[in-house]
Amino acid sequence: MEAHDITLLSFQIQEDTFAVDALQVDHILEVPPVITSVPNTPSFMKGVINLHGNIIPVVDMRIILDKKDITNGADTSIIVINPTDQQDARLGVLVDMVKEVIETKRELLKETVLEGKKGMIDTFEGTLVLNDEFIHVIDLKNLTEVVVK
Amino acid sequence: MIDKFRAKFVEESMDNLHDLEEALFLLEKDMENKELIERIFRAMHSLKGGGAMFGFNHLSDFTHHLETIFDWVRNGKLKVSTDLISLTFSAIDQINFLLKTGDLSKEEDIQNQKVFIQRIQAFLTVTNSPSDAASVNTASDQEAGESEEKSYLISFIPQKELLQNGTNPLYLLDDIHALGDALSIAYTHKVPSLEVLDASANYCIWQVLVSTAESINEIKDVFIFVEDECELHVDLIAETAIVGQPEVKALVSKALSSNILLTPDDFKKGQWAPKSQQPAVRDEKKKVAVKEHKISSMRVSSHKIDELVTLVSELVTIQAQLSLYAENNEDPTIVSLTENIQKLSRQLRENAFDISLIPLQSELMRFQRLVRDLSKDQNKDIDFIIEGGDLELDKNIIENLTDPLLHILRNSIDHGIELPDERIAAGKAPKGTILFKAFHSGANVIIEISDDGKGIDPEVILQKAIHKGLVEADVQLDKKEILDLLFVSGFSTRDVVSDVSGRGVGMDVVRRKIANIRGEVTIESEKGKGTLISIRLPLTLSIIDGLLVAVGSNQYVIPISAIDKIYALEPSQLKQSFNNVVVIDSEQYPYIDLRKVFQEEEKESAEVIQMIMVKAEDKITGVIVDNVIGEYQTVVKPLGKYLKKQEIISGASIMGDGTIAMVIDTSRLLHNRKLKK
Repeated sequence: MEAHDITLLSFQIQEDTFAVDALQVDHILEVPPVITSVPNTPSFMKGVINLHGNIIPVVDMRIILDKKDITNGADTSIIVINPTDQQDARLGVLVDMVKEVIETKRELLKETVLEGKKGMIDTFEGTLVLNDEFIHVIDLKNLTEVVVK
Repeated sequence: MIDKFRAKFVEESMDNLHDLEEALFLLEKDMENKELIERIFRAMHSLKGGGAMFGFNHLSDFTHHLETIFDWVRNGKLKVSTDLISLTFSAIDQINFLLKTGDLSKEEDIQNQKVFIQRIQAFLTVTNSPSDAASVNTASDQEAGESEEKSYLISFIPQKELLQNGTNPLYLLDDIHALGDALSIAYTHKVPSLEVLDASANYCIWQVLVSTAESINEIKDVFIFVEDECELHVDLIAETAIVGQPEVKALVSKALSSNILLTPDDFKKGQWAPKSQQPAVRDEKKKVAVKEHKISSMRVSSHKIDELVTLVSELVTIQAQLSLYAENNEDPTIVSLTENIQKLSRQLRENAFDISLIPLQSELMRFQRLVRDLSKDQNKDIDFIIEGGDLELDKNIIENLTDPLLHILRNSIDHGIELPDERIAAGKAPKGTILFKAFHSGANVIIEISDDGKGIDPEVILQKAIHKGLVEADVQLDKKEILDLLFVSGFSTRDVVSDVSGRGVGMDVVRRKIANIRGEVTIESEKGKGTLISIRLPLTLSIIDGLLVAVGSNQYVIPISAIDKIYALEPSQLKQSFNNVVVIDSEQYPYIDLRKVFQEEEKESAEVIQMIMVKAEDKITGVIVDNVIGEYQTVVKPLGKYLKKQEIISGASIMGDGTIAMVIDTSRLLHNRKLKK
């Protein structure tokens, strides 16, 4: 059935590959020179950016996933997600590198094996094995919940 | 398609209902007012007619009964009474319900409606005969249905397009038949042969003879919805009921066979005319739309307005960028062009925001209703006075204001105004007063709700707050601070949650809701004399005049409306002060260092300290910033749901160069500081 086809956007954070549902991605941006910091927010909240006249908060996925030695390079990007089922929920997600768009079938997603929590994230939608590489699909609902907390 | 019409009908009916309610309020004060009765009747008639046309059959049936009552009232057969008005008010609720649900399907609802209709009919049979025998007479005459009846000839010549609007002419004829004995004649001679027949066109002409006690206007009212699509004549042909007489039948059959329309003159020759036979008031041709119809206002979906306001906000932002560019490129042509654009965009902005304002009046009806119903329930006598109801406010503000205002009013009725006996005992007039007053004050709108009830006893509030552990037992508070405790969450003056106010939520929710629309609420009260609650609101939500300041690496906007003064102080003036108090002009003010609040690192000693005096809740507090940059008009954008918890920042604003400055909510800033202390 066609409804089972899914499109993913994969990205890299240090040595791991993750992905999000491509249909919920609004924009992919370079990191702007200034991300305006918002006072008294948790460390993963990098601040806000101006996207075509709208204020979009940006979170650092690397901090959320509890990575160390974070560096910004030429490939560092912001993926702006827009969870369709929620209102004013656009969120910029800072990642090390955006990789590719993958079309696949939902059946191919295997349950993600988690030993405990992965940083602040507690569930994934599943893991796709592609060319011997594990791609963990991030549950955006879970991510936004984590950020709101 | 029809759904669209139905939606439109519901929307218009809501307006009608609104009008009806308003007229009813006025009628309550002036029960003899003919004009108001007429207005009510009209509104009901439109509801009935429209209801039938758009398939709200229960609605139509229901309003029909109401309409009958007001028809009696308008013909002087029935007197307006408080009971009648109360009945009509509850009927309005029922109509509202019917409009929302459409035709009833639940057995329970249908039963309720039946009971309701019986209540209405009870009014008609009891004929609450207060005074004149004449009115009783006419009423009984109606039942006997004889002497008062007159006969009319109705010629209904529709245009071909009649059917296209969904009108069913047979319903109109049914309505006429409902008025009294009637005889319809359909002329079908204009119907073409099948090959050329357009199924969506109307080819028929009708004439109806009717004998009825209703007035000529009543007959015309039946055709009120089609008057532009037809030629209509209503002529008085006899002062008695003639329908059914053999001579009439003969005339009718003759007309039918000859396809020549009957004229009033045909009936003149008849024998049944004792009185003068002139055709009464020949109706002017209504066919052509001669009425010059000027549209003074129009209905636009609020969605479109929101879009317009958003676009204008964008324009203001872009325009600021342009101004910046012009400033940097000292090209005189660009500078003057920019200035012109600035002027225009300012005007455009003002216009757009003006459009998005709606009068407070639209919500006041609900309040009047609440006061009326609650005071009746609790046997309290309350005069609800409204001043400044024509004041206009941003639609979004009004939407968010309704619930807090309802809550405040409920409180006033519930806990404020006493029962008449208690009032007399306290030496007051038995009738309590609630005054609702709205007025402009600078860039703000102030709404005051005051009552002359029993007021609030500060001692009771304090004891309660101590009991609930909200304050220490030995705390020293002045009266204002005690009253402020009412707004602390977890405080509700009644232990028992009553049905009316105090549904477990209290004034803390009111304050929070008002704060959400950048408003402030304060309370004053005198025990035994009454309570005054005043709400200060911004005129519009999305654009503010702000002072741009720098703190650390960021820029912030402080709303000008909150600023009292700005001082440049010597560092020594601060050093002399202890406990975060600064002395300016021999007055002491507490102060906050924004660097500390925003957890920025300490600044090395500066030569001048910029201290902005901010006022909130009648108090002035100093706020230290690094730098004052200047005054800007800015569009406030929401921070979105992820930063909702960010209390001190109420939004963000995009500057001319595309950078972001955050807008500080001063009252929250000062409030938070108080809590920390």
